[in-house]
Amino acid sequence: MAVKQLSVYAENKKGVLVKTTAALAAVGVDMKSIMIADTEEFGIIRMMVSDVEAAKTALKNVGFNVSAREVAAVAIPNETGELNRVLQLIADEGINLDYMYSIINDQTDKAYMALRVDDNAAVEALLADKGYQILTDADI
Amino acid sequence: MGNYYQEEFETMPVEEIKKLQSEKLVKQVKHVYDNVEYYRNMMDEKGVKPEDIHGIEDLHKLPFLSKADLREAYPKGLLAVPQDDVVRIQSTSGTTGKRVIAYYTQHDVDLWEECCARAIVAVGGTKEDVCQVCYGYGLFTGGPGLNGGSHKVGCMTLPMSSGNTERQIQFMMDLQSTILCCTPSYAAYIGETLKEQGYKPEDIPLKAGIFGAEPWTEEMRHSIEETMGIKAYDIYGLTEISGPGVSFECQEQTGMHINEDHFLAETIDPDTGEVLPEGSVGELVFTCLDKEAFPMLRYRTRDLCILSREKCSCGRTFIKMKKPQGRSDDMLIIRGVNVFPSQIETVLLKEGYTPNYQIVLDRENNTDTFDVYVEYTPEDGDDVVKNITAREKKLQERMKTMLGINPKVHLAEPKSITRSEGKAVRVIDRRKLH
Repeated sequence: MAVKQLSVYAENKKGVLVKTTAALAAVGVDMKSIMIADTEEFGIIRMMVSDVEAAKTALKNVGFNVSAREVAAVAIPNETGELNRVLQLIADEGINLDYMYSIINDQTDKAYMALRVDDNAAVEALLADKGYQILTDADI
Repeated sequence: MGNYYQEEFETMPVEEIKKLQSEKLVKQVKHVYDNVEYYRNMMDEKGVKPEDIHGIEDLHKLPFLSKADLREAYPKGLLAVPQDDVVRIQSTSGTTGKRVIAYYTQHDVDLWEECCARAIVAVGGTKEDVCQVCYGYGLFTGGPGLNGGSHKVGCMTLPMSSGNTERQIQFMMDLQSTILCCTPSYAAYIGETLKEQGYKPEDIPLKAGIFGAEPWTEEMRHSIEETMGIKAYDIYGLTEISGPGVSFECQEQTGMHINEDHFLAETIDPDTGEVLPEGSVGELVFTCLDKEAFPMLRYRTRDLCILSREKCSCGRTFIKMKKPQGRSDDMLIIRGVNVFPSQIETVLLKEGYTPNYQIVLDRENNTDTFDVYVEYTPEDGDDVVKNITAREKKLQERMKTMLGINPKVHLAEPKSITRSEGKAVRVIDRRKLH
């Protein structure tokens, strides 16, 4: 299960973000999600893309430190209070959530969320047990 | 391990070396006194005459020469032969003030190249080897010295000079270079580039590297050896004395044998000038024994190191010098604390970073700012901000422990730190102190 995600380490300076998107556009890679954490010194750009290997190579070639990993992803009903329900389940289990973001979904009426946790399988099992749809690369 | 270029000297019994040194010293002092007014005045001032020097036991009577003397006597004040006997000059990079110009007769060039040949043979070089020299050529002694040594051994010599790494690698692969001569920082860079291009250590034809002209650490040696699958050897020298090859490492890799038939070494207390016994840390001082054009007597190198005459498994009897612990020229004084850039390199390699770093010093509100830029290169590293910040902090802590003062560590993008392909630019000092 789980969904592949790329993380780009970049110094926080002018023109860095466009350097990443230009590298991806040049090799025809489509972005499915993007989420940026910025600090005064650096930023981490996390993204899901149509072709992980091509994107990784393209970003490395322009000088970025790129890492690939899998994050848990879940489909949530697009209704008030639903995200809160999911997060409460995770909190009740004592699981630490490092970060979270939403993924573009043009297929269904659900909201797709990516969840970065230490143990993807545990979160997936927890949510699947409560009837949530767990997403894979094929869903994105 | 009988790899000698000139066995009769390199394995000479110690008592005979000392006798040879004594004979040569007497002649060398007379030659300098007769031909170099600058040094003659120094000797006269100290009340020493050539007749007072009977052998190496009288060495301590001679005055010291320092870089300041070379500057004062610039350009020709220390030349000891008529200019028409000179066939070559070399010059220092001049990074710490006025350039130094050293002069060579044909005899001096031969002597220097023989010293480099000894270094190549000591690491296993023979005429069957392909020796790729990517030290800079020209005024810098690195290229010409190893080039000449390689010729003397009979290696097929690739006079690449520094830079153009793609071309270096192409020649290395096409001609199957077996010995690489360059600065350690450039060796590390070539190694990294080879790795990026997908070459594994077993694909690389090199067997040995002779690396010098800048300080480097044991950790860096291991990292280069691992990346390229070679043995990395140290070589030492300075333009004032001749160039690379004043001393060189043998296959034991436990220090550099000084070519004692040409260069007499002492260590002194840098403050008092007092000669120290072998085995204690002191400033290295060299006296040339048989040079013609530019014979330095008791030249203070500012390099701090230890001399040791422990028996070496290679069979050489020449005294060994440990890797210099730092050249006082490289030492930075930051917020009143002495810092050697090599200490930072040690921390980086221990913590799993590449040895690419840059120190930037500036001054704000009369306080030194001390920033260290380190390339963030781990494969599939962390992507959680607090973990990366923790990494930065850990590195900062380690540096603080090593240096005694706290730098600000910045993790920079891979390969973003400017690389000079000759000597690495490790320090940018923007403090305007003068």
